[in-house]
Amino acid sequence: MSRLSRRVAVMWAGISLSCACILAVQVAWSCQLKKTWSVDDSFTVTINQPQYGAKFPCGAEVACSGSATDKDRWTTEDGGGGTADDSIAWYAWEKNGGTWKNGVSGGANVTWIAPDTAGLYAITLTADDVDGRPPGDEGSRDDAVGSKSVAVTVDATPPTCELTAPQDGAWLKKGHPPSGNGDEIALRATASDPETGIIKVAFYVSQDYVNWSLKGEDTASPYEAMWDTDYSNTGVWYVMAVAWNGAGMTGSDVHTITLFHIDLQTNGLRWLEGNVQVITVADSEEDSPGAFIHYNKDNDNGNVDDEGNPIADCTETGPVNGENDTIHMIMTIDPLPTSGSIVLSRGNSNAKVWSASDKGADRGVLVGSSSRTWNMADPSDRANYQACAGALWAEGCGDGSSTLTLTLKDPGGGTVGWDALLHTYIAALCGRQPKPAERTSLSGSFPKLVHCEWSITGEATDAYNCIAWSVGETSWRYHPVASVPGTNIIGIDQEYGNHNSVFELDSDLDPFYQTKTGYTPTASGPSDAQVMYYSGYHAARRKGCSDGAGKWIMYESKCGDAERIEHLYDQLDGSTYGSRVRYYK
Amino acid sequence: MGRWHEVSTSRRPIRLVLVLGMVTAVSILTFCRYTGTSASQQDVEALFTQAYREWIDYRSSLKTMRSDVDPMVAFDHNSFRRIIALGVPVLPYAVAQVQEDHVLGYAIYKISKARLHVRRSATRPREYVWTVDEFPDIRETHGPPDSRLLWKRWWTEYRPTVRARFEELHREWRLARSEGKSADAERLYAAMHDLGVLALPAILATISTGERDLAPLVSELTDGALKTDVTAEQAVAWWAKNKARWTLPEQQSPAPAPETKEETAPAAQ
Repeated sequence: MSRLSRRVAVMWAGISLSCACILAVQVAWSCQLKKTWSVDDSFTVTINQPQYGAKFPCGAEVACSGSATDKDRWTTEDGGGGTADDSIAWYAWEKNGGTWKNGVSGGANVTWIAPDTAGLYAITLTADDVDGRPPGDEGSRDDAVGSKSVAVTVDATPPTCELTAPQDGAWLKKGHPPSGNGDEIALRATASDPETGIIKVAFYVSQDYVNWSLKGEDTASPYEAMWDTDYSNTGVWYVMAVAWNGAGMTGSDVHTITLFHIDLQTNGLRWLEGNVQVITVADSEEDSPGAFIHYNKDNDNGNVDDEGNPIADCTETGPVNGENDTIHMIMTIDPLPTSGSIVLSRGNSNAKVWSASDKGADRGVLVGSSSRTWNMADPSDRANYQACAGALWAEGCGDGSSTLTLTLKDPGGGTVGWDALLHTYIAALCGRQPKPAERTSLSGSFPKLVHCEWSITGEATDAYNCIAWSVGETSWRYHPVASVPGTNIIGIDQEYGNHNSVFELDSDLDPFYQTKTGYTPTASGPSDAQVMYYSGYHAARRKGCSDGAGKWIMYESKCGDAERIEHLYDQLDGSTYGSRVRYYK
Repeated sequence: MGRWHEVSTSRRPIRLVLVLGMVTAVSILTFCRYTGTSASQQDVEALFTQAYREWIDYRSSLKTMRSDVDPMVAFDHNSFRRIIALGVPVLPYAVAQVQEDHVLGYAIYKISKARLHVRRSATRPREYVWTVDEFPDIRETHGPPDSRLLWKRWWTEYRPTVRARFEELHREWRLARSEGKSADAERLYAAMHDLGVLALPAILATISTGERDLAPLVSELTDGALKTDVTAEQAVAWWAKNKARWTLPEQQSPAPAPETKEETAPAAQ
């Protein structure tokens, strides 16, 4: 083939290929169908902030944010169709008051500065979309502009708030544990806001006006919170109530109060709550009123009658040599007021109060009168109170109880608070009072015996012992192991147990009580037991004294060869008898 | 007479004392005879009263708060040992006093060497039953029988039967021995022993018939006062000399009627 003919052939082939490509494009173009658009009605404008009805104080900077969405619909000649998101062209904000921060009112997010005039204001957001129709399509995607408005309230006046309790300058009694025992201080306030209303009132306390502690919030009138002062310091406190209105504006009120610790305390006190025994009750543990202490109805100074029985000395003025049953008592008012008054009073003459442990004609505090008042504004009276506060002695005289009450009164004479001790006689009536030598002997072996909380119910004898008395017998002695021939001295192991010459609770003592009384060691403790057994081979029997001592859990013990005594259930715990290890019923 | 007179003249004061003494002695003997209390028995009572009082004081001095102290400490005192040493004659007073003081029962036990057999049956609490071999009617369910009651019955019911009980046991013992039943013989010997010292008169009466095999029993009941290898004659001679310590007054001489004794007891004091 010639060179020319070859060139013609190549040219011809290129023309043919180009034509084929053009034809292919034409065929493809002819295959895509034309769409017809419509705007539909889905163009939506939303204001996210501020919300409708929101309230703002004058001048508040209010963040405004909004958004818009749009979907357009299309169809084709062959019956096809669908929707597509459209773009938003622009946002514009309008208001009928206030200003736009930095003059910026366009865009999805702007800041509105509330006007200085209270009132109802409208904020409007307007937006528009674009016509995003592809070339060749028919119809329209250009919606009309959309808008949304919200109404907001602008408040020009903060709420009013008034603390109604406690009163400004009030003296208040500090509470005591446990929490929630009803001695909390009520904090109360009134609050109002006619424009936007009260959202809440919060209560705070502070001792330095800097650090405030929130005590509670209330959203409904009457606004109230409780202040648990159990562990609070005494002294001056600031109490503040803060009210919030709907626009976030606040109003507050502050009062100054003084918190006093008022406490009448005694050594040797036993706290009856839950049968908890506390010899000296810490302030933080004291319940009030209702703390019981015993007093001796038959005080003794060692004097005895012809039969050796103690002679009551509660009618003696003293000083009484050897007096040892007055009970130390302490008054505490903290902080010490320099105005107002402090009153110590008694419920009846069953109790007397002296300023010396051995009494004395000129040392009567509550002897001939039922109350003693110290005027704290008077320096000399205040000094007298300070001298007496830690040096009072209570004395019982007569059957029954008497309440001793310490009261603090504010300068206006109002009662700030009080603390009371209920004195009650105990045990003495169930047996006879121990003679001095007996008291020395038994108290020496059992240091927990508190004078007048125990009495002697049987004389010393070796005819029977504690185990015998625990089953109500007075002519038997029960030894752990050994019997003595010809006598009523019986070895429990030998006669009731397994006779292995070893005293064992399970195999010896339990059979003993089961055989004697039917008791089994199933009682849970002193309160439901009939017999308590101690680790040091001692048994005590439940004593049903319904007199003064009836308030206590009493037991009766024959103390070896010594006297039989009535005592509180725990007073024989210690080195002589060991601890209580078994309870029978 | 002259000499008597001279003598009497020169020794008038002495004679007067002697006469008064004789009158007094006769009066006392008459009184004692009437009241049934020999002079020595009065001494026993006084000695017992004195020793018992001292023993009570001693026991009081032991006063302790503990109930698990050794109970034998109460008996480790000279006063108690003196009571024991008074022997069988003190038993009437001890048995009377034990009703007030069960601890004294150990003295009766020690003196009398009587062994009452108290037994507990069953092994489970509340099923226990205590019985006494010597008093079959006793049946206690809460504990061993009261020792005071046992001594009272021992004294009033059991004591009069001791001789008969011994004779029966002795007869059975001899039979068991002759038949070679050593176990039975041993048991019967123990039973004779448990009769206590109140059986001594009967035992010695038996020995006096020539049965010296019972001499060891006497020796045991008298804490070795009589040797075990004595002849029957030696045993009888020993008994004649020492029986006052081992017998009650009525066993030593014609016994007065108890009613008379009781009626006149206050006057004797």
